[in-house]
Amino acid sequence: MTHRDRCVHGATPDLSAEGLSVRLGDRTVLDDVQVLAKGGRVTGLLGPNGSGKTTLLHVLAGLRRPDRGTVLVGDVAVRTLSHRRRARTIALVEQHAATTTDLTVRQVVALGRLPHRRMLGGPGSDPGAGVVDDVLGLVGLTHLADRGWTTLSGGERQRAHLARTLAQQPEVLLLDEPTNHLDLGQQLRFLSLARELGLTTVAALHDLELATAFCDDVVVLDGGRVRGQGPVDTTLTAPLLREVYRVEASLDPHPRLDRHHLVWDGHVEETA
Amino acid sequence: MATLAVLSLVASAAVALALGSVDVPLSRVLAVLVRRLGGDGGGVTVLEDQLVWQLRLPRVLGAVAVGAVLALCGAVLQSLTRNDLADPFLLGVSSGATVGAVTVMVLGIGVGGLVASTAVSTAAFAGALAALAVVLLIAAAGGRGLSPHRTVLAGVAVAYLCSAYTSVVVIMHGEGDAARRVLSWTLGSLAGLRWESTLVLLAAAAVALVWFSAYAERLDAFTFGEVSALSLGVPVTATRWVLMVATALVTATTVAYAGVIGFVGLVVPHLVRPLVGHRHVAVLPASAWGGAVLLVWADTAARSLVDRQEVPIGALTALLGVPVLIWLMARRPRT
Ligand SMILES: Nc1ncnc2c1ncn2[C@@H]1O[C@H](COP(=O)(O)OP(=O)(O)OP(=O)(O)O)[C@@H](O)[C@H]1O
Ligand SMILES: [Mg+2]
Repeated sequence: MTHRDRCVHGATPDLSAEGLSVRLGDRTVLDDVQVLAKGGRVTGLLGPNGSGKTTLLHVLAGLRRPDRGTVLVGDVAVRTLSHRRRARTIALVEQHAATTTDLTVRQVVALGRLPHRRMLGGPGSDPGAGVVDDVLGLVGLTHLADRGWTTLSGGERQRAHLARTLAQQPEVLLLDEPTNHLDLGQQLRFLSLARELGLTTVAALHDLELATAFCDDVVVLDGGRVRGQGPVDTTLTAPLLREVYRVEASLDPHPRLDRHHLVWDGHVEETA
Repeated sequence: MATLAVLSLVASAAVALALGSVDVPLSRVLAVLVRRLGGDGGGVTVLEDQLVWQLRLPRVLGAVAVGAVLALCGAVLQSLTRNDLADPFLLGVSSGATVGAVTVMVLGIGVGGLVASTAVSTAAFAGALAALAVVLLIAAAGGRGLSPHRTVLAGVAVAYLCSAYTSVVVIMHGEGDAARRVLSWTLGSLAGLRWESTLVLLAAAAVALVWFSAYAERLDAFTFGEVSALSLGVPVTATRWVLMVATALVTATTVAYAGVIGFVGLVVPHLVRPLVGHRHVAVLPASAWGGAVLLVWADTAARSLVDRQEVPIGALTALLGVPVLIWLMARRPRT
């Protein structure tokens, strides 16, 4: 049995949402958003800065109540799950998650076991405590398990965050710009790993090239609305990229590889 | 480790019982305790009994309880607010208690026929609760579930309001040594502790230790902030309410009997983390131990350093606390 088989199991349900609206102050941050992330596939969440990606992920994770709309995992409304049940179903790697607390890597990863424990039971009440070692192996951090958090590099922290969410043994994995601050090699390693897990995954990404290489489907947000949704190759069309990102670009067949890649000419000159 | 902690606490307490204006040899201290606990104490004098059992023991146990409570509350609030400078008085408890105490001490407004010291304690406790209520009201008004930021701001605002009241009352109405009495109350003292008050404090400390320890893992979940705590299945808002109110209540209890003793709650959690790590299952009991030992020694110094006079214990803890704080700031990681 591999690390993966031991720590990832169970169902990979669809994650879907309908009619999501979120207002913050007098701004409409999400406006009637409908998304479908198919079970066991990787869905890229794309859109310019401020388009609502983080807000949408928080709503999908059940961390923020939308003003309207519902989120379903399979056919269960996330709103109806208890806090702990929700944390065993959906896990989130945040866009910014920093701390000055010097827990060790193993202790940070073990936080992910919290929703599996009885509240007063302590560590002994968790039959799956061995999962921590498995997920550390899975993300390749076994050798750093006893290092202090503040001594880690950005890439190591990001992998530790992923390990923590995997220790939750979720069915749905939400990643908010997980490749920020990672070098190219680490970006590819991180996303390959996330793909191989085979969970229902939604990843907010800025890098369209990475999105075309690693995502099955994409959802494109702009100004809190969904501008396009579907398989990556057919959704990221030149008109859509021009409208949303103000760039002249297209997805062309890759000369060597069996996939598409992004080719851009330049940004669109703004006319006043 | 736990054994060592208990031993060091017992040893500190024993030495504290022996030291004071009149030193009692450790063997006689032991004899008093043995006799009181039903054994054969062998020739204990009335004076020894009075000194050790009636005067010093409640004080020493009170120091253990107050120190433990303050350090526990500091550790809990530092985690909840993710603020290294959080202390048990964050929620306006100390300033509210001072308002209550001053009202009785200076204006002489009595509390239904209670003796003076009980009246001050009662008024201080009531003042602390009132201030807490106002702070929570302001902090919760935004509707975002007691955000740490709002809570700290509300605490500061209420503290200023209370201190304005205190200054006005002392300056306009204070007669004789009113200002001195108020000042010495705000610096804290364990001199007034008798068995009744000490038992209340010990109960508060036991409740705090057990209750907060039950939250140890949920406090760990706040390491990366509230979104991450929420995503780990911790009901953030409910946890904040329960813990903030609970810390304020036990802190108010200590303030009612011992005044405002600063720096213990702020510094002790920082001191023990390098020793036991950052998980609350270790930080909480270690803080309780550290606070207890620190306050036992601080109180011993307070009553024996200067002949026939008490050095304010809050001044002693600050004297120790400030250098430690500066040292901590200097070695703080820059993340
Ligand atoms: N608390 C808030 N109050 C008001 N507006 C907010 C609040 N939080 C976020 N916003 C606004 O909501 C919009 C969406 O923010 P969000 O963080 O979801 O965007 P994003 O797509 O994740 O951006 P980025 O790519 O920069 O991470 C932004 O315009 C932001 O300014
Ligand atoms: Mg974002």
